[in-house]
Amino acid sequence: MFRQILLTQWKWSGLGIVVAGVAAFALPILTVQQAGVADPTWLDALALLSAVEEWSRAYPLLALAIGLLLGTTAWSRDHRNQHVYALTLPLPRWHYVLLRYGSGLVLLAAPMVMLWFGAMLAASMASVPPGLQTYPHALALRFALAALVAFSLLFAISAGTARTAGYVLSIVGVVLVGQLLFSLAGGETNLIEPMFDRMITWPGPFDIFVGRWMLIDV
Amino acid sequence: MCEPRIRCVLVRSAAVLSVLLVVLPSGGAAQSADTYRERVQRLEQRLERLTAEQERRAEAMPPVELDTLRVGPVRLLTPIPVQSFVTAVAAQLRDSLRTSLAGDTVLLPPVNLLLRPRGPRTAARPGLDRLEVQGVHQWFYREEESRFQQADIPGPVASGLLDVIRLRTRVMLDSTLSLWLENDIAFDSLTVIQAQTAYLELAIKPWRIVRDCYEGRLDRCRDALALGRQSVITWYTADERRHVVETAREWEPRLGEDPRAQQCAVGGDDHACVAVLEAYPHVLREPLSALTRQSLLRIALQSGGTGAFGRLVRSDTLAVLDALATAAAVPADSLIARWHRAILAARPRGTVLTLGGGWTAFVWVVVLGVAAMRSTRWRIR
Repeated sequence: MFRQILLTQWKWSGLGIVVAGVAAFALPILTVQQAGVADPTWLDALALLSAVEEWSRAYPLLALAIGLLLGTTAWSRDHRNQHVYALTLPLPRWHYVLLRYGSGLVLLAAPMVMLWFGAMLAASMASVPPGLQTYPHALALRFALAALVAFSLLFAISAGTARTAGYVLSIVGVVLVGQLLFSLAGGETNLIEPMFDRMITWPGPFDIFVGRWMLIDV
Repeated sequence: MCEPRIRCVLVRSAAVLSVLLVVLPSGGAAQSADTYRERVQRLEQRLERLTAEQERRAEAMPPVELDTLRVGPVRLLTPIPVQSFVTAVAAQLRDSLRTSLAGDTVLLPPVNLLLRPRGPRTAARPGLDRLEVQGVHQWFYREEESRFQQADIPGPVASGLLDVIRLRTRVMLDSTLSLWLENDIAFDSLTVIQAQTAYLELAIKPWRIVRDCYEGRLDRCRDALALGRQSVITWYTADERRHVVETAREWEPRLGEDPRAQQCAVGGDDHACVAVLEAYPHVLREPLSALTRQSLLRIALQSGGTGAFGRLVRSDTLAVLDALATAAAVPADSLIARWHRAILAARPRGTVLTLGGGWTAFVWVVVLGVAAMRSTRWRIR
């Protein structure tokens, strides 16, 4: 059963996974393009750190994109076919969701592993100035966790009913409209910013995405 | 460059219109050289007339009224139309000076700064286009023109003025201290970015003395900060001296002609390296940069609290480290130790995943997975 579900999910999102895998492998190698200076000075080291920091913005975006791709495609056919296939299976709901989730995780593992290999290759290729270190394993682990969070979030939203999605959207809409009305009435309190801050700082779900994703750092 | 955009559009439109006016009456036919010359003459006369008219109008305008705002010994002179904005800037500047110097603000040398707006202020763009601090080549621009200098927000302008005041403050200090700080009397509080930059320098610089300092040898920190023994031998190892000379040969042509530089760089003769570095002291830099040295002053003033700046100014006859220790009101060794702790604590948060961060992400994965399993898609709506 798991194999069949995995195969169907691979059919739906295989091309995306391949592209994401290539991107994940290439990203660390692109990151260390400037790390080839022989006998680097400390100014070269600063320039390298700056370049690595520029590239570091791409990692959370890629993790988010992969999570988005897999989280939504996992349920797209079920939605389109009114969940008839799921209803025909002699499985409780939780079991079916677990199979879909597990298949998604297996597919997600491919770009994660590709990024890990890419990071290790990049770290071995780079000529790193003294005082700096490479962090291929930590970076790969962080990427994996971020992609997992993004996938789980999108998977949970897609698994819900239209009503649940409606509730979520309504809450967001009410907050936005409330803030707008409050601002128009002359209020200076900002409701959105603290909520956003809560989401992106510990222990918020997106804390893993923010900060420095440095393959090379002090 | 054509600036601002509206003027640019008008100039271009006028140019196109002029071409049409010239070409259409003549039916597009080529004009003779005499006609062309006459036309150019007429245009030149017109330009002269208009320029003279503009100058006459400018002379006839009443002088701009200035308001004076005082922030301790700093006088901000500003035209009345932007007075309210500059008042907000002055309030921020006052706060910054109070935080940095407390009661010692009065010790600052008198500084007069004329802030003038530049560029047209229209109904569509009521804010300041540019704000010039006259005489110091300090400009602030609107947000859309520069991400870093914003003329329409008081904070960055006040921060820029603080930089100007810091540079002017060097006249108060002993030239040794001023030179050690490379003329920037960094009396303001140490920011996170400044501390992180100092950390990076300490962590990255390849010199042995800096590595020793990073690893906690405070006597070496003192030397690296150019506060102890200052010599070619103390600062650099033999290999490093050779490297310094080798690098300097690329930009100092005199070293290319000096046989000792050749002996040092190619032959590896350390005596020659020492001789070259002593003969050309400008190629030898202190192991740690002025920015990092300034961080020590900032920490000394921060540690010293109220009256620290006054003590610094009054102890300008002492050696640099003693003057800093007097300002900080702690022994010199304690000051260096405090600086070392503060800089190492500023290590930027890296990619190394914290245990807490990793577990939190994992918990969210589980929570979201469980939420998905509790979905009720059996009922399609």
